Formats: sequence, structure tokens, C-alpha cells
Amino acid sequence: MPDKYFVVIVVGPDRSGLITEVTSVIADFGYNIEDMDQVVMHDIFILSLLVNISQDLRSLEKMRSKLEYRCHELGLEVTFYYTGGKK
Amino acid sequence: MGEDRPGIVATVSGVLARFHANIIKTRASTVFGNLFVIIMVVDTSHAVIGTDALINILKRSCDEIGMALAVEKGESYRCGKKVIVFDLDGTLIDQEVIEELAKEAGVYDEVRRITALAMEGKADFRESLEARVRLLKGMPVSCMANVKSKIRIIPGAVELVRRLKEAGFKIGIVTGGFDFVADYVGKVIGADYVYSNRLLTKDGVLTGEVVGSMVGPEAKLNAIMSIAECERVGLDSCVAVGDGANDLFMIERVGLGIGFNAKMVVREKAPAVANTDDMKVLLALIGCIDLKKDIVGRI
Repeated sequence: MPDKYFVVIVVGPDRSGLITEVTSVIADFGYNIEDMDQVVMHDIFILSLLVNISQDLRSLEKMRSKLEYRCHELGLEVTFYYTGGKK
Repeated sequence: MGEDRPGIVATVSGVLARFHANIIKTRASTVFGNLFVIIMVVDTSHAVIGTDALINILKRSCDEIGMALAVEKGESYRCGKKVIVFDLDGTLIDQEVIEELAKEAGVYDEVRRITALAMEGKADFRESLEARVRLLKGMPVSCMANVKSKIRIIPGAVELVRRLKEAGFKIGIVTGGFDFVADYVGKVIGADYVYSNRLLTKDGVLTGEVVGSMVGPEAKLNAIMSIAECERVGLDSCVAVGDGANDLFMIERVGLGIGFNAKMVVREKAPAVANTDDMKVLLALIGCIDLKKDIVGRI
């Protein structure tokens, strides 16, 4: 079966530590980031991640809500896009 | 850059966050199927520790998770690299040639002891080279062919050089070792420049003497400088790769110095370190991987 992915977009006011906060949640669940772009534009932090979710589809919702909760705490907006297989 | 697994981004960014270094830009991706590359632009102006201390902690953290690391300050990263030089023994090949010769001559233990001291920076390079070569006196020339047949070039070295050449690099080998191996490896990988020493022979045996100017750490830097001059580039545009204490002098003075599977003294001081079996990892450290292109190429 081809690997499944989702794309996470995180946007909000920049400060140090945001990448590690967000990526730790993903790493704690054992999901692997295969692609990543991040930039700071006029003090706004913008992060996009391609996450391979095929190894554990059951924990997905749990990880998603944990990520939403953490982003909310950090004052960041987070959006998820399920992309299916790798393009 | 290193073998991909979950948690790499979290670990690397965690170290930077702990010391209040701000990541301004990141580009990361898997390449060659199983390797993960991260390029980060980091602002350390608000960091709570000095840059050198931060780099050292980063180096150790990356080493723990099997990632190679290169740190370039200021504008250096933008400076296009054009020349790369490699040490030979322990870097491009995973043997010390003089030890292989010593095995043939039956003086392995004595030579091994002197080599180890020289590599850790605890003995004068010229004296130790001459002392070791003296032990080889009377060895038949045919033994050199035996040693040459046993030479193993590090995995990925040939592909690394091919890709570097495609990117417009000139390739050099700078070694305090011997021409019969250096020229052979140079031919196999396609080096443009080879600097080495020569073992003298007479009547079919080694005389126990060595000639050549590739003695001591300055000699390697001098070799790079003459390559750079031929190619009309500055030292900033040069990359040096090595593993021993005698490589540190060049590693600390070129645009990008890389300790490859290096001795401890080199790991501590080199601006870039890679402890890996696969030499292709160096491509990312040199900035030779066009991430977008490589990913598109994979689809």
C-alpha cells in the first residue's frame, strides 16, 4: 500500500521555540516529517510540514487534537490537509 | 543530514530553542530515499550563550542522533564553493596505507604505534613519517602492488565526486601518504589534483627513505592554496575534508572544513562534522543538493 500523508500548516506571531514545540508533538507519536518549509515574514512565523502518517492511522486523531491544543496555547493557527499518497 | 527517523527536527530545533536562538528559515526534505537534510538559517543575536558554545552543543546533539552538521557563519554560506580537497588515508580510503605496508614488511606493531600518536597530534608529523618509512627498508617493490590491490575506497566517494564535478567542483587529494596509492585513488574517483609523497626504491627494494614536500599540516594548506590559485578562487571557496590531526590546520582555514569520521581532536574543532558510512552525506553539508530539484526528480 502506498504511504499516506498529511500536510500541516502553522501560522502565528514568531518567537523562539515554536518549531520544537510543534515538531515534538509529531515526534512523540512517532510520525515522521518528510518535508518541511519554514519562514518568518514580518515577525509572522509560517511553517508547513509533510507528515508520513501511514505507520499508525489510529493515533492520528489523537495527535491532531494534541497539536491543535498545543498550537492554541502558543497562539498559532493550525490547518490540516489530508493529501492521500505522495504527489 | 543523516539517516531519516522521527524526531530529528524536534531535536535540532529543541537545542536552538533552549538557548533562545531563533530559526528564521528552514528547508528540509528526505533525499536519496532514506536521508534527511535540514538547512536552517539561525539568528543568534538573542541567544543566551556564545555562538561557539552553541555550535558545540549542536554538534554533540547531532552526533548522538547520527546527523552530520555543518555551520557556516555570516556570508560564508552564500560564497559558492568551487574546490574540494580530500585527505586520503582514513578519509577517501578506510585504511592507513603505511600500516598495510608495515603488515607486508612484518613491522606492523611498531608502525601502528607511531601512526596512532601522529594522528592524535601527539607526535611531530615529519619525524614520525620518516621513522615509519625507515622501518620499511629492504621491503620488495612487489609488496606495493599487493597493498594497492587491497585498497578500499569509501562507499559513496565515487558518486560524491561525480556529483561535485557536475556542480563544477575541482577535486584534489592532499595526503602525507604515498603516490602509488594516491595516484591510483585519484584515477578511480577522477581527481584533478593529487599531492603526495614518494617512497624511494633502489634495486627492487624500498630504501627506507621518503621524498616529497607533503609533510606536516602546513603542506596540505599550501597544496590547497596552489590549487585555488590555479583555479583563480580564494580559500573561502575551498572545502577541505579530513579525519586526522594533521588535517585540522587546513580544515580550520578554508571556507568549509569538514571532519569526516574524524579523530576526537578534529571533531571538537572542525566547523562541520560527519560521522557516517556514506560519503554522499557531504553533498548536503557542502550545499550541493538542490532540495526542490532532487524531490521533483524522485516523483
